[in-house]
Amino acid sequence: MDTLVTQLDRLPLLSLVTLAPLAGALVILCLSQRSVRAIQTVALLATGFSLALAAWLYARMSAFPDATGFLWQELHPWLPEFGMQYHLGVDGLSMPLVLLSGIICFTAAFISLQIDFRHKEYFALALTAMTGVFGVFTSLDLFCLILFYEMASIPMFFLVGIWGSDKTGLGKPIRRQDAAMKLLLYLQLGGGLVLLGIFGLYFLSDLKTFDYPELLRATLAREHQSWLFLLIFLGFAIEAGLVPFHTWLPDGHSSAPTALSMLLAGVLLKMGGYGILRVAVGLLPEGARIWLPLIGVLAVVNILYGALCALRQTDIKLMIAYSSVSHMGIVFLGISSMAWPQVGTGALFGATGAVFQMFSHGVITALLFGLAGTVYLITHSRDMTRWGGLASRMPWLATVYTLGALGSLGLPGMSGFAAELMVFLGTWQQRPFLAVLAICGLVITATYLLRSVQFAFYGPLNPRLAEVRDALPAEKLPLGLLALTTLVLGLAPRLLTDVTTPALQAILERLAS
Amino acid sequence: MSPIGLNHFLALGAVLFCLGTYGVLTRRNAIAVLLSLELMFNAVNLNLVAFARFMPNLDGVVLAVFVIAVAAAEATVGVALVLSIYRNFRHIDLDQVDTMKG
Amino acid sequence: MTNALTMLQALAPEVVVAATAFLVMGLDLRRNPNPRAQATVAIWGLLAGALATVPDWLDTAASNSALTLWGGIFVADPLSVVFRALACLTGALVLLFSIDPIDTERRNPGDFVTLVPFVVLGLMLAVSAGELLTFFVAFEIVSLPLYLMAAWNRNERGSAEAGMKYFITGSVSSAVMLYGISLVFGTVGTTFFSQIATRYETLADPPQAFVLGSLMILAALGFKIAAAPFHIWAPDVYQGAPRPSAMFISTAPKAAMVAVMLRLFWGTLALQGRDFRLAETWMVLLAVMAILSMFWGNLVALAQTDIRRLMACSGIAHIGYTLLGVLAASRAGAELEGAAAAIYYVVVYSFANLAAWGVIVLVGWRTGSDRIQDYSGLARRSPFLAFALLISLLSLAGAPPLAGFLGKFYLFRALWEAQPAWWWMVLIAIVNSVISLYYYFGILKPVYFGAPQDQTSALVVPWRFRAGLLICLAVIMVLGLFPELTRITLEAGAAILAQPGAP
Repeated sequence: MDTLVTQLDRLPLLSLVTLAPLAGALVILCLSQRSVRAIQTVALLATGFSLALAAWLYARMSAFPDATGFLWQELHPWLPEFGMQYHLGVDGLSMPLVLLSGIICFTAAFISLQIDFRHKEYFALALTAMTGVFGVFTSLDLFCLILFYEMASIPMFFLVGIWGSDKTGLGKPIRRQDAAMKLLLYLQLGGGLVLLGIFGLYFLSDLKTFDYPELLRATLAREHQSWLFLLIFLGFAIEAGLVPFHTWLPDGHSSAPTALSMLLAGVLLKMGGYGILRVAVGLLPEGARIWLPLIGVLAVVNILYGALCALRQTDIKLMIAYSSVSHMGIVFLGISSMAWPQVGTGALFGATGAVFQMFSHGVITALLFGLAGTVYLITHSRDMTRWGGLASRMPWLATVYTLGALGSLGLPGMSGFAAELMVFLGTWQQRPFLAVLAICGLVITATYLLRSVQFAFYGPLNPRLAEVRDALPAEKLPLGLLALTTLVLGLAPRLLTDVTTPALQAILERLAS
Repeated sequence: MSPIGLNHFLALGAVLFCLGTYGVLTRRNAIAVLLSLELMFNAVNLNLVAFARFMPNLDGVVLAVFVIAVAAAEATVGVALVLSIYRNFRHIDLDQVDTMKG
Repeated sequence: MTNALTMLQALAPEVVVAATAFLVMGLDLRRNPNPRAQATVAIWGLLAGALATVPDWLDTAASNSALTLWGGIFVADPLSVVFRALACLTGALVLLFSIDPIDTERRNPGDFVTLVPFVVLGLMLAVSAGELLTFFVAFEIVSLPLYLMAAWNRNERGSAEAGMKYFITGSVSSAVMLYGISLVFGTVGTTFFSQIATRYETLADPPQAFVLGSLMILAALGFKIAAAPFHIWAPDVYQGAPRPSAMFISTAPKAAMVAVMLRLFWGTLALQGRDFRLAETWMVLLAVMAILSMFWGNLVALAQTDIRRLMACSGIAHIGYTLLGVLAASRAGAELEGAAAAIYYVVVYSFANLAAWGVIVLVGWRTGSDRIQDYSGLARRSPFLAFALLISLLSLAGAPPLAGFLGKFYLFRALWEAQPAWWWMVLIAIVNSVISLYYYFGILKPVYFGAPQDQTSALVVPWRFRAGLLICLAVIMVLGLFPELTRITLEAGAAILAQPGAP
């Protein structure tokens, strides 16, 4: 057994995880447009392979909690003159997000079976984006990171514009083509700012390299750190939906086809949070100490503003999208508590909570989008007020939606609770005032989520919807998997925290020194 | 009265060049524009020949010969284009040759 | 004996292309000329010309030396090899894309085919010229046929107008350049690039006429590459000229003139390291040109509904980016990076632009329209064309992993390397790239999201278009994925450092 494992470790495991979807996309490009079944099978196999391998690696990593540094590194020179290389590796910070990407990509591929036209292009583009998502989390070279980031964001334009849906319900209309353009421009602006910041790191550190472990050794002047942090933070924050740069998020997420909403909200947002932790906080400790306290205030604005906007939506996908804005605020709040790394354990609580929240929100929001999209497919309406009483016709979907909503509002026993509790504990020790404000946001969250359950699934049955079906097995499997993940993590949060703690502690030590 | 020196020639060249530029910019008749262009080229020739006169070698004259040849080629192409303008518009008023906008 | 052999080797590409040009011209004189056969001959001739640059490359790139003829009038160094080969390939691709629509675009197609190799010959001489007069004559060999090509559709008003506008702006720029050359010649007494700087040093006081002359040369080059504020002619000419001509005008001369700019300003007119204040002035001017071009091109492109005008604006913006590389190259210590970045960028721009124009030529030929809204549903009428447009526009927009992304990356890196205080220019360029996404994706929106306006037919892509587009796309992708190839541009850039006039 051991020999088998050591043999396996010689394989480029992370490359396999990352590039399997792209390989799937290439295979699909060679298939005929007509062989829908084959295209779908390839997509499922590719994402399933990535998920299985990611889960195995995760299990390996959690079996050795003392392992420090980056595991399973792969380093190939690419353009050595310019300090670029193909460098992959994971640590306790990125591994959970790789696993999250695996789960979301696999379930999104499953939900994508609902797509009923232009399959070939759809799956090729979606799988390419998935490779980009994996790559962002696995790459240890900042140039590679930007490359994968672009790979994840550009296909979204086509996926949203071609296969998306337009907004219904109250308020001004959102056309999917405009939403696609907005999404693209915001994501690219964010990428551009990050690129500029990375250039700054490259030149100002005098190392002339994009290699992350190398850059960890860089020493930068305080004022350089300050504005580099601002650039990189801002770039990634646009991707993570920081108010007031969030407007692409509700439009884009609500207009995207179901599987893409899952991918966007589930992992694309997390690329922003991960980037802030990894690049901005990880490489620029002094800059982080300057700006992080302010970010806490922005985070609370995010939480409250997102929740209030969600409250007034009747379009269910838009409501979930605004709830993402609100929940990403909790991630920001957790990150900002790292500003005081030496005070008690508040910083570690906050940081762990931030990562936990990224994972938990990724799973839950993907679940909610998956459910909303499935109900939309069945009822042809995204307007909650026109659903009504669906629980009697689709009990399975209603149950799982209620479960997801409860998880999202932070019911004890679900993953959302553990995440939010840690963030609030961390914040409470440092800035109780912010914690109180953030908890107010949670009250609003509970209101709109429970209201959506009531509107959509309970109350009198809308007579036009008397003949609707419940979920199909092909829908039950991915949605059930997501719901199960939420429950398991809620009951055993240590499965995640044991892996993340060493990596986060390393970052905090850099911050404290 | 000082003798005529290099600077006098250069000044004359500059005046001719500016007159030519002015003509290209303001004249509406295509033929007049071509004439103004010739004026610009010949201002250059005057410069070159003047430099050659006040330099130990004849490089400037060689340059001027090339410029004359190029100017002749330019004029040929220019007249051909004026003909094509005339064929399409039935006039050669360049102010009215403006069908594209954007 | 060795001397004659060297001469033959250095000049082989020019000899091949000149022979091709005259052969094609001769074929046109037959009683029943066959323009397609002529074009085929021209394409093979140009490809042979590109191939003939290889010995020069092998001889000069490794040792970073130059083969000079006639005391420096003609220089075959890695820089000139890259751009001579590029000119040949561009010419061949333009001909490949114009064979199919050749009868519909103009009345006597044989002449069009004949002019292309002549333009290429001019471009090759221009990038290999080591002396101002030779450069000027080559420059005219390029310009005169291009005026005629712009005015080619004799019975169309737009074409005649485009030709006239191109002619007037082009001729004025020629005259301005000549006047500048006369002033430079008059003050330093030589026209050889390699001697201008050394002669300048011996002058007692820095003559104003020299500065004025260099400025006029810069302005004239600005006209040719359509850099703001000398760009006004470009949109009208691109829109009015026959599509293959516009395709040619938008690629080959621009690339060659960028090479000339690098050669001319580095060590020759910028006087790097000798008169530092003069070099600073150049950099300010180049920076102003670059920033104006980026903003004008990108902002005006947002409002365009005609794809040809849009491509003109996008071309102006791309010249703005390229000038950032030229700017970096004029800074002591960063010459190599700057030059290499500018060369790489302009090569990549040429191929991406050729691919995009290839689609424009085909669609325009089949539908007779250049309005962007008429591209609606192109993805369903011809997935291949839509894909080609997608890749070329993505590369122009700078999306990875295509070459356009690496190109922008090198430019920004070179600029920062040259002067970290210029980071705000990098920021401006990045903001401009984001703006440009809006109109590039604005084209892709109808292409992919729209429905075909007439339900009639699939667009048939003739094999020549298919082949040409595939070549362009392959270059874009390969250059993007295998950056090892950029070493070629590094070596070409090094040629500038090895220039005799360089300090």
